[in-house]
Amino acid sequence: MKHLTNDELGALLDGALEGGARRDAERHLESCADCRDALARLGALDESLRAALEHDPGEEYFGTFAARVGGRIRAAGLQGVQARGEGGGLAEWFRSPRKLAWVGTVAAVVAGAGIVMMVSREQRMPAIPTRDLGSRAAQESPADRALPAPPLAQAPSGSRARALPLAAAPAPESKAEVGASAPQARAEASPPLAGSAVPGARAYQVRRNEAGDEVPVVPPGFVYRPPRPAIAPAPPGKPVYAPKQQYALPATPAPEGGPLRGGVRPVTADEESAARAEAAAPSSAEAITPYNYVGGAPTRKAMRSTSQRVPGPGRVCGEVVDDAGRPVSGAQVADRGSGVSVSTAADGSFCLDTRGAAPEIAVMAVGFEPLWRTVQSGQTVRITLRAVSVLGGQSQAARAFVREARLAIGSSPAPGSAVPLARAFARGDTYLRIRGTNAVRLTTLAEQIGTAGAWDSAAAEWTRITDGVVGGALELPVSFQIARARYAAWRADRTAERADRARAALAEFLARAPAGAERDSALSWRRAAVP
Amino acid sequence: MKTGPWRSSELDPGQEADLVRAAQGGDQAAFAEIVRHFQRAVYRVAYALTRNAADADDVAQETFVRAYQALGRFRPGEPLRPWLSRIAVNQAYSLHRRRKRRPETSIEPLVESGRQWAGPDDPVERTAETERHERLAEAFGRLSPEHQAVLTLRVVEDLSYEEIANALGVPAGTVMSRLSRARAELRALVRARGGEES
Repeated sequence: MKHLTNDELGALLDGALEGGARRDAERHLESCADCRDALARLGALDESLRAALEHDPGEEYFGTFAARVGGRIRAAGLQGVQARGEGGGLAEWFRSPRKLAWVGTVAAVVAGAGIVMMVSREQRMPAIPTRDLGSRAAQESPADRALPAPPLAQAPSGSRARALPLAAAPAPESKAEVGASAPQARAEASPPLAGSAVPGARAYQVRRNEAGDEVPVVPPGFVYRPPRPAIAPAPPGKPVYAPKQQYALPATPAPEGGPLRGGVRPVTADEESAARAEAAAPSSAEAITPYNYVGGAPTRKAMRSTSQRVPGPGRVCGEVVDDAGRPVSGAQVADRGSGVSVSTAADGSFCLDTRGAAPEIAVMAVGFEPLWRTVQSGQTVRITLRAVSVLGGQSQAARAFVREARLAIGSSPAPGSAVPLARAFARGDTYLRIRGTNAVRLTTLAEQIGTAGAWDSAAAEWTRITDGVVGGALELPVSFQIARARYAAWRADRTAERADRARAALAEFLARAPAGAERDSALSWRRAAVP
Repeated sequence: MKTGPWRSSELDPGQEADLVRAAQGGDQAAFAEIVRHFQRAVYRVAYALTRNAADADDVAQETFVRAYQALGRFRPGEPLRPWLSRIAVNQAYSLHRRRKRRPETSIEPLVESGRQWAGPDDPVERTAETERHERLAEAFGRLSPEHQAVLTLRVVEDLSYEEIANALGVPAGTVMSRLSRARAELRALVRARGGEES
């Protein structure tokens, strides 16, 4: 008896044997135990290999993957453009001393921008707990807010180039919304920092390189010292409030320098040039926006925007503070028209590219009531967030999540748009966040492409999260999105199956939908989808 | 042809072609969507061929960058996955060439944030299985790059012979014989290293 060859066994296992060859092989297997064993071993080896070579880096990894690819593409695009420059090939650049100097300048600017970004990223870390402590103190003791100079305001500013939020409580009279408050504060804050009054206390110093450009350098022996909160003398009969130290501190006297009003850091020459270089780049930050459409971490765009705080046409800048006037870092500021959002910096400042002359912006931060406001493009605004009460069964974050979701439902920018839901999902658990964000993405994509297949995908993704939102604030909006996607799919390709699905989804939504624009839309769609 | 568990969530050919056309027309969102749909498949190939998370990440990202650059030459309607697999394999090859050494399995900085696919709950059993997998992965790493590639596309990615032939640029008959030799060699390596032939 002629046994099956390894090729044949493999092909049989892989389902690649066809017709007569397959029938012959199967007939042989029926009568040959050796070949059956060999086939089973081969299958088991494949199974083990599959398990041995598999690795799941986790949802978080894949959630940001596209954004990282976008970043690489952008970087590669920049290279390509430079290579295509007037001179021709790369060698051309190295033949010309002037161009070589220019290359050196670009490299220096990039390195400088890198250090600035590292410094600013690093500084965000201690800001959040301190702010939380501050806002908690404010909630617990309203009388404390009336103190003319809260103890927090006296924290030193010299030890870091960038003011931390605890060093940034303005005087109470500046609480009113004033158009030019931020630029003024910036001007006042400049001298003590630019003068470098405290030797060795800066994270970096600025030197000039051969090309005449300012580049930041880390001074030798520089040791980072976190700012030390000073404790104000308590007024008679009043308790003292001071943030708890989060790290051990060497016993050094507090550096000189008055409190930083407004706490806004001056924009350094490096940042200006880095921002200019970025603005001049052919593939702008906007080009990768679709990749960045993931809630949470601040995007490159956010970092860029906050580093050049200049309002202009189509741009709104300002700062977000709590009701005691302290900056709120990491707050999301979004243009409700375009869905573009940025995070506030450690000093609460932000700059947002907006659409239209009077865009409506939404501001949200964990622990604060979300806020919607119409602003004027080109204006500098000061936005005061109200802290959410910590009383009650749910955590602050959960309450904020529900509230946000309700707001998203109550007033959608374009009727039926899924975009506001993205922000609601951003605060959900991991599953909801990923699925929900994905569903919003697919919906946005379907709106752009408009094919039935794209709408089918969006509807399927919304359907997947149905179980996760039953009984919650998001149940109805999700139901609406399913109905909308099913209907749009049917509109794009009018098959009987799609009509059935659209009617079922619309009925599901209409069974519970309250009166309103969305219900009206659904009713008209149902009339259209009647066979 | 049997079908892997991950195929169910894939786009249908019409959707793929729509996305490709949109991306070719400069629609960044469409390309981002392509990335999201195929990131897991590309990562699987990248990980199988590098066996460490840092290199897999690099290869996977670079694969999409190359795909973006070459998208203009891609014909809408062709399946994307074999094409992306081919780019991923080439990226892994060039990483191997750059390294001039076999990839290592030791340092996996991203492992902690991830989780392995479901395995036995019993810790003893789990360890034994993990060891077996490590031995197998190590043996796999000793195969030639061509054998690693053909096994990865077949066993891990579940591509058909035709798709593999397309991805590797070889005739379909070559796929069959190459796969067969790769499996025989892998079995011999496992046996030689004292592990039981599973």
